[in-house]
Amino acid sequence: MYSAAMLIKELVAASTEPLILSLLAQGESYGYALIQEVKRRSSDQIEWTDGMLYPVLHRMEREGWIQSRWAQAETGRKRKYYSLKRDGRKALKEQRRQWGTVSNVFRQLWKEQYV
Amino acid sequence: MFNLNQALAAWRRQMADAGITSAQVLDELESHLRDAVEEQVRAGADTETAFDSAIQRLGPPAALRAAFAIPAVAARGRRFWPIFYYACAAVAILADLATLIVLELSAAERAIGGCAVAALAWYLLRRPFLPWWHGGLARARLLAAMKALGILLPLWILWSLLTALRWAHLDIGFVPTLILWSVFAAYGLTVLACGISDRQGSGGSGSWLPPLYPVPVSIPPRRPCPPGWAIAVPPADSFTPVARQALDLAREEALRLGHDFIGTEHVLLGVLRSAGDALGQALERHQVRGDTLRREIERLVAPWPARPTSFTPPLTPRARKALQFARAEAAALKDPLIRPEHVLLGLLREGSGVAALALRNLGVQLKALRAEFPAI
Repeated sequence: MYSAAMLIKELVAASTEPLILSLLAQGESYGYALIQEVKRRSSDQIEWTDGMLYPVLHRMEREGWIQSRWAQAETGRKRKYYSLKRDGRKALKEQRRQWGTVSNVFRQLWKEQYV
Repeated sequence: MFNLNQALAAWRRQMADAGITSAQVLDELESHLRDAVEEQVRAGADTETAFDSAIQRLGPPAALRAAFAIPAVAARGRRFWPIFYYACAAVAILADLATLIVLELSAAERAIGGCAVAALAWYLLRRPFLPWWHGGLARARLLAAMKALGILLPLWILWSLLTALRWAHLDIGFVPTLILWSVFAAYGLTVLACGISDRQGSGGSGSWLPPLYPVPVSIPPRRPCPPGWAIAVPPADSFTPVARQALDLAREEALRLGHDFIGTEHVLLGVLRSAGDALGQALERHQVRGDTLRREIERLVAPWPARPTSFTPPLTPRARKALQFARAEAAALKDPLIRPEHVLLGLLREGSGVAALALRNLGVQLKALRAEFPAI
């Protein structure tokens, strides 16, 4: 489902929603661009199986976190653009708190190795 | 010759056969495929290879269909339950108020009843915003208390039933009944709220993954890094054996509290544990008992699960500063070695660490304490 030898599957799965929320917090975007952006920012370490992004996007839309609209891209083709809603911003805030907690614990534990 | 449009049409039929029939979804996926193909063609691939690899990367249709079928955490439920909670709370409060108004009561009864209703209303309406509600030790304690109270619940129901059937008549007066009912309402609604928040996960983040093992919410404060860390610690031979033991115990305390640094609070606990009678009595003259001080410190810092003992955490800048002050205190008292009481004075003099805060909270003052230890 997810590319091995990069990040473990569970971690990719757990980080998908917060990543999407964080990317959309920077502005409206569409599926293909989201995938490319994550790939670029993680130096190819996080590679979603392309198709799997869309079910997550749709589910997040049903949750009321994001909204979508069809729009004509500069190429003349239609694309489905997603943007963050108010509940999505709240969810992002909560996700940031949770990931911050985890990363804080790691920072403390790993600090021990060089003090 | 490969025709992208035909290939896409064939692909759409395949997807439909696999069970993905929504035109919206297929449109979106097609748009994705076109983007992917375009980019690869720009990079120099031929259209057919690009299309095949794009299909590959999309994943097998069956897996896609399964992924689309995962339901969202009921979005309506997230709105419904809080509303339901507040509706119940309103009913409970209004019912209490109505009985209070309708019944013939003396002024005193009215006043006490009013207080009970006000307390109930405060609790029910304020609870979702109380910080401790959202996790941590207090919530765990609350849940434990509610479990214990749950044993009383059948008794309460039985009693109500018997009273209603007029088989038993226990007249405890209006006000106690009202208070009991208020407690009952608060209890019931807290149970309801716990159920709701467990269903939704903390904060309603609504991940489709099972919740992780609860992470402790409070994190010991992060300490600043150098230059404070460069403050020298007085050499070991400048301490008396008891004071050295106190520092060893400080390390032990840090590990016991699961902290990865030795702060002023740990040094203070170490001093307390190693302290002789003289120091203990001096502190007791200032109305400070070891266990109260320990409790105060543990209130101020967040204890964590204990750590293995093989590792020596670093002294924080404040603890280093306090030990330097301890040396100065010893010098001022013309003592060649640093004694535990000097460390105590150093901690107080440092002033901004947790140890100083805890001591000040308990009413200890530097000048008064200093007078306890006259120069030799």
